[in-house]
Amino acid sequence: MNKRKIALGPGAASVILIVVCLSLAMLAMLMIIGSRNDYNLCSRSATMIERVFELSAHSEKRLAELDAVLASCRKEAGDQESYLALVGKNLPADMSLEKDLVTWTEPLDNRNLECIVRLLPPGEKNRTEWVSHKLIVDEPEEDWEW
Amino acid sequence: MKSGSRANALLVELLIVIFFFMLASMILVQLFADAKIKTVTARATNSAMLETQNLAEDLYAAEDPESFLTGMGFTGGEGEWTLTRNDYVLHVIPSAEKTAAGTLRTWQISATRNENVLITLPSTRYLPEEEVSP
Repeated sequence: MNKRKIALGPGAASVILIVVCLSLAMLAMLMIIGSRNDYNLCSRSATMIERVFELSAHSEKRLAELDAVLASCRKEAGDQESYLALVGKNLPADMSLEKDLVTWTEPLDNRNLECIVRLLPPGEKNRTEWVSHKLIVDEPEEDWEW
Repeated sequence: MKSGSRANALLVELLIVIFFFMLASMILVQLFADAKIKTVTARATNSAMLETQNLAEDLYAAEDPESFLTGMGFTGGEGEWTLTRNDYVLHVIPSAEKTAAGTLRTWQISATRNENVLITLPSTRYLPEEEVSP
């Protein structure tokens, strides 16, 4: 009768331990790297979105400033031309008037929120209307972090 | 005699191996748990980010924000609106600031998880006062 004898030689258990532990350590390391990258990416996206929304909120405050000027100019001016001339004189800082468009930018690192509003003529119910409200990235594509 | 000492050596080796395996597994389980927590937090942050952005845009455009929030399932009112999701809790705090020619309406939208703030977005809209015709 052929009886096969399975023998565990000295040191075999240690070798198995080393192999299993190394495999588990490798797996844990890969999991940690992956999850940390996911977490960092999410955190950075969240921070950037927060800053963009704060920028947008700031642009609304600037619009409120401009609207206060427009409201007082409408009371004083009679026609569209004198109204625009008066607005041009009293425009809040960092804003520019071209024809009936008021432009300003809200800076954020290498991005700019470009804001353009149209001034509506006296007699209209509203004083302004948004024309453009967009975020422009000033960074060349080669410098983007991937 | 010889075979007995060999069996003893094997036994001692196995004991040492089991001891080291337990030690290693204790550390590795901690690492796996940390990785899992980070992944779950990242997933929650991602979902919260999308939902708060949508909410901020919707509130900006809403004619009647209170009924919009009620329709979304928010509870509360006046001071703070709350909505509990699986992974996080959404809070919306309204405020209004009177300006020279109108009102700045702000909704502070934040998502929290285990009392940690994941994201906070302001949704501000300027509402001009209508002109009274002379």
